[in-house]
Amino acid sequence: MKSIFTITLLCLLAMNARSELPLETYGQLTLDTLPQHTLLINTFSHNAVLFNADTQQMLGTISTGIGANAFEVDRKKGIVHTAETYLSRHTRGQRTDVISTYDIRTLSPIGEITIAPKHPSGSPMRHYTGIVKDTEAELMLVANITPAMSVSVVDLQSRTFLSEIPTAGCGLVYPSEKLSFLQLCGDGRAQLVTLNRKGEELSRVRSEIFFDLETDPLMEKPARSEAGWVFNTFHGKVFQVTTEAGKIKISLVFNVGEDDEGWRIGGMQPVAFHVPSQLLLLLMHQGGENTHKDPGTEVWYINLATGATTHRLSLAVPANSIQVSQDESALLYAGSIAEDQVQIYDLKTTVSRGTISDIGLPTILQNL
Amino acid sequence: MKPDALIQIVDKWVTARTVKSARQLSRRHFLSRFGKLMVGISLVPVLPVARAAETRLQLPEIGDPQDCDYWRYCAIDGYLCSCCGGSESKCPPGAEPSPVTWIGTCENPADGKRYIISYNDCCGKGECGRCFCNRNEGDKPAYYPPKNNDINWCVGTKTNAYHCSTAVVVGVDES
Repeated sequence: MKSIFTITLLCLLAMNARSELPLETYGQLTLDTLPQHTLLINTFSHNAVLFNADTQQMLGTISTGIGANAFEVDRKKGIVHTAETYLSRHTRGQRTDVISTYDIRTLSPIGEITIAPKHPSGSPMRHYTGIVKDTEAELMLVANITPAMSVSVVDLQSRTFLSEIPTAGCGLVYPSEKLSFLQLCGDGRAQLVTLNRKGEELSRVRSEIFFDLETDPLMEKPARSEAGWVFNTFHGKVFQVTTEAGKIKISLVFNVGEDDEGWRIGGMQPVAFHVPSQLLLLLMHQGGENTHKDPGTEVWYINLATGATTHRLSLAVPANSIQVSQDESALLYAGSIAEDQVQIYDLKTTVSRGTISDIGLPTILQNL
Repeated sequence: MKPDALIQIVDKWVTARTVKSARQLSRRHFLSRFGKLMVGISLVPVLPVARAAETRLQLPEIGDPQDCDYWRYCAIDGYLCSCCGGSESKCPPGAEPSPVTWIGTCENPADGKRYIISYNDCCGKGECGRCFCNRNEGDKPAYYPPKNNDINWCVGTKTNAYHCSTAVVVGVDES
């Protein structure tokens, strides 16, 4: 009788304890509010990962297909677009190239547009895609290399593939005024192509020759300034390329490393531009010919207007890519493939603000 | 004329034409011609350039093809097929060689000559992941594809899945 009483008492206690526990349910989180410094890190592992750079906490993942080099970001609509390739049997089968649209809140695909199966893959490159727009149209451009070069044009509003523009001799896409885009050409010129809203070519002009592909090629990894694009050559000439009334304007701004022989610009994403302070950031290393993809050991701060180097930041580990947030309390990011990490620095104070590790080999860095 | 002598003459002619074309023709023109040449290599193995690739043993060789410092790899960017079940000039079993490719020019330390190297990617399997090697001698930006090693050159193949890269000697640079 006593033991029955004891068991009954224990059961009552257990039931009481259970009723006091909050009911836990499974589910999933959403990114309802993006942190101020949200960094989108493309990787070699077909994943793009999002981090809060202030806390170094991971926010989520966008899983992509082959050749998703970078994203076109539309913060107002809360979406991103990327060009990617899918094979029906993983490494074989039917190839389909698409522009996929992902919802930033869920990091999930919400639509896709089939494009010509000519999108290049390989080492990541920021400027295989770009968006041009005017008051009524928004066109996404995808560079094709088969190795013949052309550009696929997609209307993001009607979500249709409009056209393929042959661009023999010139490649990549650098969005310019309204529905026009710049390209670089092997003959040492830039090319400006203007489209109409149907994706048809209206005009095409080339600049004068301003670099020599054989002796000092123009690197294809510029940063966008307010006026246009800031390019550099392998040897350190810095050009600003702008457009005005359908014409291309090239201006040699300055030479980097003239007073420090042997320092070169290099890496996968070696140039960034901080618009609020008009500061050009260059990933630099010591090396000679053929070192244009070597990781950088320093980031040089350069006043774009004067060409003056105002600071040289020594990186804790060599980096392949740099990026900078576009706010007053900006953060400078430096991604290292070999160390599988992104270093974070306060742009103004140059003090380290932490490191993001175990990423999956970071490539192109983007602000979100 | 002995067959060998004839082959040598044809060899020199083809090499000279290739180098001259690479220098003088427009990118598109060169690409068109070189692309046909590369397709030709895969289809007609008796062509002189193919013969040069086949007769590796006649080349004086120094170095380890599984080492990134091996002389032929001066402009390579990818996984070395010699570490993946293939060799410096052959794809691993089941991997399809790309008929279209980028080219470099590397100095062979064994004889001091510069050779034209065709960096054919091998395709149709997942990335090998072994012996990654990136050297950029003469590499040009991606807007000039014939001399760019960033691009996945698995084009003209059944699929564009990249597996590894080879370095095939296709001629002597006599410039």
